[in-house]
Amino acid sequence: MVEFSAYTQLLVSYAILGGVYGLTALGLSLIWGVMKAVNWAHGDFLMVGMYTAFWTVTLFGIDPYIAAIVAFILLGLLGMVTHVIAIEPVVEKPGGHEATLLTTLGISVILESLALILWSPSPRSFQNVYKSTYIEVFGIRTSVAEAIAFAVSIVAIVAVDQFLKRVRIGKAIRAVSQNPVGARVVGIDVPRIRLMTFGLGVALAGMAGVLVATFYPNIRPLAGYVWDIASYVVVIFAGLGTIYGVIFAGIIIGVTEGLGTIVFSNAFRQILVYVVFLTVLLLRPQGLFGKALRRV
Amino acid sequence: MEFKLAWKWVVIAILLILALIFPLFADEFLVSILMQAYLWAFLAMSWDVIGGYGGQFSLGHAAFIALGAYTSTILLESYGVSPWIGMWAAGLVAGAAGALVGVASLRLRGPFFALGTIAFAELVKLLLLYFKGITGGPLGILITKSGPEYMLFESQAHYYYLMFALMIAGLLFLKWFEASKFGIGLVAIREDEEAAEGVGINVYRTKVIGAAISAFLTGIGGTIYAQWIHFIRPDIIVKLEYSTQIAAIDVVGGAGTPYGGLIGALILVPLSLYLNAIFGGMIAGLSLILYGVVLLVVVVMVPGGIYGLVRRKWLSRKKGGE
Repeated sequence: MVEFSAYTQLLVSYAILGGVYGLTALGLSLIWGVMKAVNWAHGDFLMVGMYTAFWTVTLFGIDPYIAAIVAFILLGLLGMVTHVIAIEPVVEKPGGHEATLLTTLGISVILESLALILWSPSPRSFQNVYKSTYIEVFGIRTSVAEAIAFAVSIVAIVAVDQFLKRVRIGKAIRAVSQNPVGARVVGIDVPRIRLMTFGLGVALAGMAGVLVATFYPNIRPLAGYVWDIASYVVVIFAGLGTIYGVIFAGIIIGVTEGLGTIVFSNAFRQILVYVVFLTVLLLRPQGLFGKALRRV
Repeated sequence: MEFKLAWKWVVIAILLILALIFPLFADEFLVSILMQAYLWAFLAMSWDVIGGYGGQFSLGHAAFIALGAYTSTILLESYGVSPWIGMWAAGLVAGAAGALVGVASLRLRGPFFALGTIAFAELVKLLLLYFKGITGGPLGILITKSGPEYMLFESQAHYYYLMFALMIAGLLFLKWFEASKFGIGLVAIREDEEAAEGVGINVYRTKVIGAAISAFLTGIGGTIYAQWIHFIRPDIIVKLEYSTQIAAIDVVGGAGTPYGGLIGALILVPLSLYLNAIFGGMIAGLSLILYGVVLLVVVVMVPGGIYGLVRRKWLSRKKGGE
């Protein structure tokens, strides 16, 4: 019985982590789904978000959740600048999607190197009450920081979904994703919508970075990579153009990692995730929720 | 016309002679830089088969370097097989893995394929770490033998010639490959898969064999790389950075052309090594920034890479002259 509850604890922890994967994947999914462009620098924007949390909290002593708002705005601007430099000039040319893959790869390398130069490769973390305070529900313990990150993940996903359905700009984003030519014909400023989508996607990545940083003790220039891979896995799992899909896919990935740890070993956990990922990628490239929960 | 043709050969002969006598007058650092440029050029050319001609953007080629390096090094250290033989086994192992990736490319397009190859490379790294008994796990394998019969040399100049030969072999192979029926088939599939199938090209076979050839060559490159650094470990050999650099070098030079890899490597590798040598101690990451900036600038401003730009300029001048 002790064993059993230990397993439950582990699985729930991983499910919560998986929910956070959903949040880190949200911005990526939005950009990918709408612009059919893959943002390879996604994990690096997460990383910049983590550093935003680190610096605002350690320098100004403000609450990390206010830092999340700061990061949302800051990264939104950074995203728009990136879009102007790296996406808009190539996205409409023939072979544009391959070109965006390369240009964002360039941005990714630049961001990582800049972070290395500015902030050194040594890992950092910051103390906060949310990380060191625990709550217990039905005998399952989790840190407040992780619980909040999980909750924000769900709220953000619902908010983005509602934004796309109800707000005028959101509807325009959906129109552009479904038919860019048609959208232009009815008077939508397509380049402007693309700019806003990319900005929003990167802003969400920045916010996710802050929430991850509240409990993740390993803020370093290549930290994005770990979460990056998880985000790609989640987006592929969920299927493109699904907003709700990412939360379910995130939790599935999290639980898979947990099961891998229980059944095999910690070393085997990651192997299992990649095997499952490649299997899904090959058998069902449109994702698990690609048809059932079609959005955007 | 004949006169022009003769000039072309004179230039090639002079370049060849300069490259061959280079270690005689240049210092060790310069030799080492050019040598690494050749190695990366060869790796980029290997990538070009599937990434350039095939149009399948792989970001997992570090996995093939690793499979090649591990195969020949295990053969060398555990069984005493010379890498002169082991490199062919390395190519075959990497090629077999490449064929699997080729099968995957039938279902995955564009970014999905790129992602699949990243995941594949990560998986290879994790498996190399996991099977400690064979691979030495996180500690890796140290090459303890010595002597030219084991492809191990005392001076950098020897490695320079080894990698020069490798690069020339890669170049000649791509020249032949480009004009071969198989190479033309691969390009046809890149341009329009349905049309290629319509004219009787076996898409399945061509894609799988194309990926296998690319991986085979990369695996051989992996052996040479291991022989040069004398030491392999999963985290220093299966790096996303390497996969990215290989692709970036080829794209910057001109993907889908025999010379792209060489041009890209001759520009990017010396630049980044110089930056590292000058600032490396103080500022880590400066040399990598270069890859990012050059990649970004070339893709946005010069589609087709530097070779494409030079050729367009050349063609327009020739037209103007006539």
